[in-house]
Amino acid sequence: MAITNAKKIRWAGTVLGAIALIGILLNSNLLGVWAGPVMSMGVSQSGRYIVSAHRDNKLILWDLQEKQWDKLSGEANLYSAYFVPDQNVFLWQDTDNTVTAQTVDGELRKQFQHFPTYGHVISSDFETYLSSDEYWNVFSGYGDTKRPVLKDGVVPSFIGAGKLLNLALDRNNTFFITAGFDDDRSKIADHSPLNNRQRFSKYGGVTLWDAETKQPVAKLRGNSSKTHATISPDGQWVVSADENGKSFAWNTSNPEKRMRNAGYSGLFIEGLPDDLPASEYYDKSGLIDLPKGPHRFTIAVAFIHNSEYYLRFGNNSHFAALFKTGSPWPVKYFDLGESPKLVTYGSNYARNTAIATSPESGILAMGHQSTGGISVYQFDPDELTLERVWVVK
Amino acid sequence: MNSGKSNLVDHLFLRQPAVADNALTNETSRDVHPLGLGVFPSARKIVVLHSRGDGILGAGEDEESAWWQKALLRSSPAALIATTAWNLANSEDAKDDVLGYFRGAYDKKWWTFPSFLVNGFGPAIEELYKDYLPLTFKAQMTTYPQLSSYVPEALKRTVKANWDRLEQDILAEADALWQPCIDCLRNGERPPEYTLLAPLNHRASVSPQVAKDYVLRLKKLAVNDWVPERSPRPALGHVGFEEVTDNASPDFDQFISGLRDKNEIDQVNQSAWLFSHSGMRIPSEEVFNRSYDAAIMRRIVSEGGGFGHY
Repeated sequence: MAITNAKKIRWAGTVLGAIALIGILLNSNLLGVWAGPVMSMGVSQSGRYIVSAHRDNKLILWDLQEKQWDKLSGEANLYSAYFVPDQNVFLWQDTDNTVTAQTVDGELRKQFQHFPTYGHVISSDFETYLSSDEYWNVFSGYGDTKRPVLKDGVVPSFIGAGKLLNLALDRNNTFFITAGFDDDRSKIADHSPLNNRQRFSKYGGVTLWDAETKQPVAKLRGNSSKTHATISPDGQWVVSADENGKSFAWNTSNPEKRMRNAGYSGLFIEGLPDDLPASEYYDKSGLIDLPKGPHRFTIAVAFIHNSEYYLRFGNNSHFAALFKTGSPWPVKYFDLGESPKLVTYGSNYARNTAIATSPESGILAMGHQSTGGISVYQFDPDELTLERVWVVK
Repeated sequence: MNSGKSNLVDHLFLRQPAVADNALTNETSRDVHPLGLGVFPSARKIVVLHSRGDGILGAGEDEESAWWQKALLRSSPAALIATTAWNLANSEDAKDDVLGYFRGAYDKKWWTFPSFLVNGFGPAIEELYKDYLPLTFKAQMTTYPQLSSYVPEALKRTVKANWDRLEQDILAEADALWQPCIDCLRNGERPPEYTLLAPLNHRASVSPQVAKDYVLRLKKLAVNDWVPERSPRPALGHVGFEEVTDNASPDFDQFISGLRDKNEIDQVNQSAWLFSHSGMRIPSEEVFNRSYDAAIMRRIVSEGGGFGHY
């Protein structure tokens, strides 16, 4: 009997020891991160901090310098992680719909009740707050100051299109853009962005808005289907790309002029007759060697070096193409690494917010396809390199 | 378009189409279907709704599988069967998923399903052209395997005569129905059906040139014992245009890429809701709202009139 009890005690000790060891390893982040895949992410302007919201509602703050991370909440809105420009302050919303702006040290800067957001942005002075709901309506402000900016139908929507209405605000708070699903060619003058009587929105495609008046400035059309777009930090450039592989750029000083970007086999020449051989529609003069891997079907675009360089991320690909504003030609292709598989795999259009950059510091952060880890890259504008500097599985 | 044909339909929506992903090319040489049924170069403004989750059109992606399922799948054949059974038991449309595990019923369209049958097109062709048999020397080889390298002169003459007669009759049928088909289309009437050219009945009309090409393909197939030489292309309704417009792919198609850049074709990945092929026929409310309403009706309303115009 005594021997049996001793055995039991040894077994219990072993099990408890194993549990304690796992607890220690988890607490010291030695087993990787224990979270669902990243759904939304923001990078601080300094490039040191990254905030991410995960499919299992975790909110994690990552410190690139210390190579550490902290779970701040287990009840975060999936699409609420966002870094405030020019500050070590990030924005998030909990599942009780409280939006919080807090510093990386935990200091509270702002807090308010809001509807469940499907993406939001805020200016560095906290004066401009824009948020989208599941029907791709856009609102300015919160509480008593909340006003509709775009509310003209329920289709397309997050559910119907399978992606967010992406929002982006420039650093000077001059313009913001919305980008969702482009299949509309109507003019601004023909349809108000506020119209409760219609079912189908006229503002699903890329639209440039005045950040002060909250009025549409231009419909930046040409893309088709699920479209992502962003605006440069200085507010001068809007770049877009879509799930059909088309990509365009506009200078906000002349938004009527659309500039088509080259695909990876040539720049499509518009306005030619219909009956030419297929190859004659393409200018190949500025092409560079194409490795096997980049895909034109684009899941996201993001500025990586101030307002000068931006990246285009192909769907089902671990390559990104580097472009320079003002030029239609790809400058370089970057292999982001095959493993762990990035969020760019699996047509994750509803998770293109799991790709975030700090154009000021050249930091790119990406979620992984099916686990909660992240990959972080550093861009060198002189050498034109993009090096993976941190991977958490 | 390059084909020079007038555009018959103003705006076409293809939901999970069970056709090859390169079906819209103008290069018939890219058609891997042994009888030339794989490409439709006269199509025009088209929106393709495709889904990686359509088990009829192809195998599903396993990225969303649980980690334990992935681990099991890699461990043993028994585990593979167990995991497959688990997935089927938990699927909303088990039939689709069964077919998905075996690469989809779509392959049947290409006469390669089930893959363990080795007689390819033989039974179907021999039924269709039963009045022209034999068209190969295979019967002789089977009866006298020891004489496999020897073919009697009489049989050679018979086979050649059968081919000559079949070719003549096929071309005659094409000639006879070419103009009536065109007249019917002009008058908005249903065109007559082909008999010897029945495999091409999906075309509104078969030109004499297409008929000649068909005979050539048929002869090539006969030489290969009715077994297609090339693997089927993936279904357009499964993968969209991704591979054929990927510049680095050996299957890159400049023409289809051009259609995309000219806004004549679009694709919309709807894997999130079109996870069952049967969902097209009897759409759930979810499919109706998210696919039909959001991806089809919206385009029609946004783009104004035109839909349904011929």
